Amino acid sequence: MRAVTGTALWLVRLLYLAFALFPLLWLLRIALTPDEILYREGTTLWPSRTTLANFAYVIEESPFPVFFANTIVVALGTAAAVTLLAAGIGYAFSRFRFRGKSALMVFLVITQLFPIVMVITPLYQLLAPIGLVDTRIGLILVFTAFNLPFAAFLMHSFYEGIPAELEQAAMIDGCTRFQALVRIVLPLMLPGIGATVGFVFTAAWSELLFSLMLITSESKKTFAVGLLGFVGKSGVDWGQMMAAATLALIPPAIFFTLIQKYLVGGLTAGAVKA
Amino acid sequence: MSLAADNPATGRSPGTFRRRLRAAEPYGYVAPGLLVVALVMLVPLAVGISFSFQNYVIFRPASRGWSGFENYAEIWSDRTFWLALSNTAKWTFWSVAFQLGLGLGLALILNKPFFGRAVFQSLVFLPWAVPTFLSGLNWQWLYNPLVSPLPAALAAVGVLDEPRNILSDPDLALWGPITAMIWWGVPFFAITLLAALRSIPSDLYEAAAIDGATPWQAFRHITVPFLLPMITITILLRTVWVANSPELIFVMTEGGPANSSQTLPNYVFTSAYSSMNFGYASALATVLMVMLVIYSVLLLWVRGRLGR
Amino acid sequence: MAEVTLKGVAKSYGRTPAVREFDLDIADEEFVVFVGPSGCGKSTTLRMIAGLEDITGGEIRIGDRVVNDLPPRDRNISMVFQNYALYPHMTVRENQAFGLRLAGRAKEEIARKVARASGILGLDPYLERRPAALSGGQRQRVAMGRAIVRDPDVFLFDEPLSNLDAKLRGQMRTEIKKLHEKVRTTVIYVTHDQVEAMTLADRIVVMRDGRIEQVGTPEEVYHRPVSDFVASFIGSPPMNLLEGRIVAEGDAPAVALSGGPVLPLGPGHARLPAGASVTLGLRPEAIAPQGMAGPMRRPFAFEADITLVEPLGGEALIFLALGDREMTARVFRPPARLAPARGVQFLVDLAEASVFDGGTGRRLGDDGAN
Repeated sequence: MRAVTGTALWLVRLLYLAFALFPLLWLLRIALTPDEILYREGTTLWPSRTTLANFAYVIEESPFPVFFANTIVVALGTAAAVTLLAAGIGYAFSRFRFRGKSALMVFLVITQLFPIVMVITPLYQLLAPIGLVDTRIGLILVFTAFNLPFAAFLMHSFYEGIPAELEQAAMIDGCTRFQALVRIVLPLMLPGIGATVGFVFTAAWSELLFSLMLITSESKKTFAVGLLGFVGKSGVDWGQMMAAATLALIPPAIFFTLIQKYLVGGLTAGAVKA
Repeated sequence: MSLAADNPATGRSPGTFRRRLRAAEPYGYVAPGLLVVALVMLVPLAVGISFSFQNYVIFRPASRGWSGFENYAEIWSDRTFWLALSNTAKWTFWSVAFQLGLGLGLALILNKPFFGRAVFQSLVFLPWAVPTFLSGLNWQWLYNPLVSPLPAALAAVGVLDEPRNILSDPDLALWGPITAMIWWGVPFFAITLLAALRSIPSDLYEAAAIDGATPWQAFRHITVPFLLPMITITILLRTVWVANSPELIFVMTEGGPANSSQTLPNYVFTSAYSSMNFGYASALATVLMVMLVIYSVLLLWVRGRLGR
Repeated sequence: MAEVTLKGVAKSYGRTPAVREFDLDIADEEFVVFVGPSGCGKSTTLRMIAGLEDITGGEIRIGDRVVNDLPPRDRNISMVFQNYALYPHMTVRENQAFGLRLAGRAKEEIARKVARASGILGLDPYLERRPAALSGGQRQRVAMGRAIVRDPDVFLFDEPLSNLDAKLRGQMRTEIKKLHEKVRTTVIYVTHDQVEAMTLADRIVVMRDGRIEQVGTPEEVYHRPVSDFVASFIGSPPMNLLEGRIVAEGDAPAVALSGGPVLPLGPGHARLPAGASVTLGLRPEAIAPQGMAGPMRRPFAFEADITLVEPLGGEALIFLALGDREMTARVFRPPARLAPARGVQFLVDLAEASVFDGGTGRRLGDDGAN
C-alpha cells in the first residue's frame, strides 16, 4: 500500500515536471533543429541532426543583440530606481509612525488593481510633449512607477526582519539615523535588496505593452517588441525565432533561480501580514 | 517643551523646531517614490477618465471634442464589448480555477520532503520566470501542428478530431491563452500557498493524529481553515491581475478569430493601439476598472463576513 | 559618570499617556532599577533617557546638560538591549570597537579599551567570532562589553536577562553586580523581575500605569511598601494580603479579619477609626508554626489548617487555611515531618504587619512606632 502511494506520488511529481518543462525544452529543441529538416521532423521528439546555426544567426546577423542591450539597460535602470525608492518607502513604513501611513499603504495596494491598459494612452499623451516617448528613459520611468508599489511592500517585509534595536544600538554607539541605516541595516538587508533587484529586473525584462506603445524606432526596441515584430513578418523562420526566445529566457531565469529563496520568504512575510 | 529654552522672539523653542524636523523625516523617505507613482499612475488615470468623455481619434484631430456619455452609449450597443465581457469572465475564471487547483497540489507536494526536492522546486517554478509575452509565443508555437507534437497528442486522446491548431478555431481559441496562463501562473499560487502551509504549526497535526484524525480529516479541519485567508487574498489579487492582463491574448490570437477570443483589456489595447481611438478605448478601460473595483470590494466584504 | 535628573517627564502616544509626571534624581554611580508589570512605562522611560523616544513634556538632564532634544549619539550613554542587538555582520571585536571607531578614536586606544572590556568579561577566546556563533550568555557579555568600552556617563539596561534560562540569569545577575563594583558608573536598569530588582539595586523605582508608585532602597520597598500594589509585587512568594475591619481604636487598636481572628495592632495605628476597612499585609516569613518560629517582637498565636507543603530544601512554603482564606508561610530549615494537618498552632509577628487602606490601597499609620 505504501509502495503504491509512493509510486503514485512520484508519477504526480513527474507530471508536474513535464508540464512545467516541456514547453521550454521544446523551444530549445526547435531552436537546435536545422532548417532543412524542420518541417519533416517538426513533431518528432528529437531531430535526427542538431545545429547551433540559428543561435549564431541571431547573435551575429540579426538586430537582436541591440534589442538585448536595450532591454538590459532598461531593466537594470528600472531595478536600480525601484530598489532605491522602495528602500525609502519600506524604511519609513517599517521604522516610523506617521500621520497618513496606513492610508498610503492602502493606496499602494489599490494601485495594483489599476488596469494597465487604462493609463497607456494618456501616458503616451503626457510623455510625448516632454520628449519621453521613444526613449529608454521614458520606459524606465514608467516601469519604475508600476513596479514600485509591490517592491515597496517587499522591502518593507525585509526591514521588518531586522530588529529595530540594532539601529537603536548603533545610534547610541554614535551613528546618526542615516549612518545606522547605511552601516548596519542595509548590509544586513543585502539578500533582500538582491531579491528586490532580481524581481524588478525580471518584471521589466518581461514587459510588452508599454514598450510596444512607447517605443517606435528600431534602435530602441526591447526584446519583447523585437521578438513580436519578428513573428509578424511573413515567412517566419521558426528556428531563428525560437533561438532568440531561448536567449531572451536566460537572464530572467538566472535571476529568478538566484532570488527564489528570498522571494518566497519575502512573499511569506508580506502575505502573512496582509 | 522646556520653558527655559523658549526663544521669546519667535515664541518657539529650538527644541520644538528640531522635533518638528524629526516628525517630517518619514515623509522625506516616502516622497520621491510617491511622486513617481502619482505622476505616472494617478495623473494618467485622471486624464484617461477625461478621455472617455471625449471624441478622440488620433487620425481625426479635427473632430476632437467633448462628447459626454457618447462613448459609453456606444459601448452599450457594441456587440464586441458584450462578447469580450463574457470572454473575460470565462478566461479569468478558468485560468484562476486551474491555477488554484494545480498550485495547491504543487504546494502540498513541495511541503513534504522527498529526494531532490530543492531541484524539483526550482524547475517547476521556472515558468514563472518566463516573460508573459514569451510564454504566449511559446504556447502559440506549441499549438502549431507543423512544429509541435501537441495537436497530434490532443487528437490522439480524443480532445481534437484531427491534429489542427485550436487557435484558429473560434470555439476553442480562448483555451490557447488560458493554458498558457495556467502554465505561467501555477508557480505563483504554489509559492504563496506553500508559504502559508509552512506557517501551520506542526503540533496541530500531531494533536489531531493523537485524537484519531485520518489524513483527510486533518487536511479538511486543519489545513483548509488555515489556508483559507491566504487563498482568498491570492484569488483576489490573481483574479484582478488575470482579468487586467491582455498580453497573452494579444500575443497568441489578437482576440481572433473574428473576436472569438477577445477579452476586455485586449479590446482596450487594440482599440488604442490599432484603431487609435483613444476616447473609446478609455471609456472601455474605465468600465473595466469600475467592474474590477466592485468585484474587489465584494470579495473583501465576503471575506470579512466569512472571517468573523 | 554623571547624575541623571528627570523632572516632570511625560510621554503620550496620541491621547494615550504612557508615562506621566515622572520625577527622579539619580545620583552619580548609583544603581537604580525600574521595576513593574509589563505596560507600566518603565521601558518607555528608559528609552526616553536614551533618546530613542521623544518626550512629550518635562526635562531630562544627564550631568549638567539638558538632553531633551539631543539625539542618542550625543548623550554619552550606552545601552544593553533585551535581545542584545549585536551587529550580526561584525565580529565580537568589531561589535565592541564600532562606537569608538565612529568617534574617530586612535587604533591603539580602541585596541586597549576593547582588550580591557574583554578581559573584565572573559570574552578573549571569542573576539573573532560572529554573534551567531555565541551562546546566549556570551552574547549578553558582548553586549555589556560594547557598553563598557565607551566609558559612558550612564549605563542603560533594558531587561537584559529575560532571554536567558534561569541558571544563567542568576550567574549574569552576579556578573552585572560585580561589573558595577568595578566600573562604578551610574546604572539605570529595567526589569519586570523583582528578584533582579532586590539583588541589584541601590534604589528601586516601582512603577505602575506610567507613574512612580514608590522609590526606595530594597529594604524600604520590601519592609515598608507604600501600597498593597508594591507589597504584592515585591517579594516571592508575595505578601499575604488579608481584608479586615478596624474594631477597636485608641490605646489598643485591633483589626478583625473577615471570618478570622481579631489581631491587635501597634500604637502606630492608634488613630485609625473603628469600622474602617483595611487590608492587612503579612510577609510569609513573619508566619510560622509554633516551635519553628524564630524570635518575634510582637507574636500573636492563632490556629489554622495546613493544606499543602512545598519543600524547597533549605526552606519550605506552607499553605494554610484560616477560615475561608489562604495564606502562605515561609519557614527555614523545615523539619522532615512537615505535612498537611488540621488545627495547627501558628505564630505571626505583628510587628512586621503592614496596614493598607481597604479602598485606596495606600499604607496607613506610622509604623516607626510599632
